Amino acid sequence: MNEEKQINKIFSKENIKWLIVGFMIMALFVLIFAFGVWIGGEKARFSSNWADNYHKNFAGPQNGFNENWRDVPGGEFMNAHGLFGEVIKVDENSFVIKGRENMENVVIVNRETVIKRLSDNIQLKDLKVGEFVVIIGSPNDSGQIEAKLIRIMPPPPVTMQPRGRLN
Amino acid sequence: MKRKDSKSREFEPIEPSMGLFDKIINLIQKEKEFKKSRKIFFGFLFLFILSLGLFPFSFLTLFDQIKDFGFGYFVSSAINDFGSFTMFFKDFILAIFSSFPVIGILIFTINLILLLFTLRLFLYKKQYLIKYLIHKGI
Repeated sequence: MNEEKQINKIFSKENIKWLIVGFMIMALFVLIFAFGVWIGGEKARFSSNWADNYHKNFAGPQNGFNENWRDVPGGEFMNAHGLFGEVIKVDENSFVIKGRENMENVVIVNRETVIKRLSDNIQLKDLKVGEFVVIIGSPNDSGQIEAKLIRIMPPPPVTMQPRGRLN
Repeated sequence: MKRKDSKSREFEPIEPSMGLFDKIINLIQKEKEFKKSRKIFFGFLFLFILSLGLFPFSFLTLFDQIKDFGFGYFVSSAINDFGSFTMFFKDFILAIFSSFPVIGILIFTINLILLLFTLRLFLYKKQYLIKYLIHKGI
């Protein structure tokens, strides 16, 4: 009888409620952690591809930067889904930007890419060297970003510019 | 025997004055309170100087990370062009999270909590701090 009471006490509504809340909080933490790990993996993969293909994209060290990771400007993984910086070269289907720590990135433009100056849609040929752009897209295996949205923005004030300031 | 008598008269116990015991207890109590208020005062001073001194650095760390990672650019792009944000929702979210200044926010939040805790300590224990300052004649 006494044992039954104790079991009932352990499995009371209040205890079960707290147990569920605890599990939910733990699941949330695990989810956030897993998402962080996944984001980190994406950034690392993109940075590695960027470093591996640097000589092909920009003519840099022949073996890329992977022999000495510290040679990579900034020494940090790059954002794989978003870039920002100054346009330094415009080609037919791509352009090059100079972003944080003066790192160059090739941005691929395709038919579906939306390029916006304020609220107007423009073409790649309208993009000018020296303009400040924010790019949303996805990385490819060549260390380039395939752009989905390109927004031309006014250049940020000097105090808001990233390290290795944009000139 | 005579000699012993004269000596015992010399060391006759003196009757303590009225309220001496209370006075001693009071002094001990005051000394204890002074020690406590001194401990709180120096603890407060240490935490206050530490949190206030670190505040500009933690703020600068957060500010630098926000501008270096481009968090502000992605967020402002999403806000200013909500249509594009909904169209490229997944990539926008990934870009924003990838540029999230986690370390900067963590350092700044810890610093802010420490500063708020110090201010709370001052508000709750101000009578001790004032007592210490009065005792020191400052």
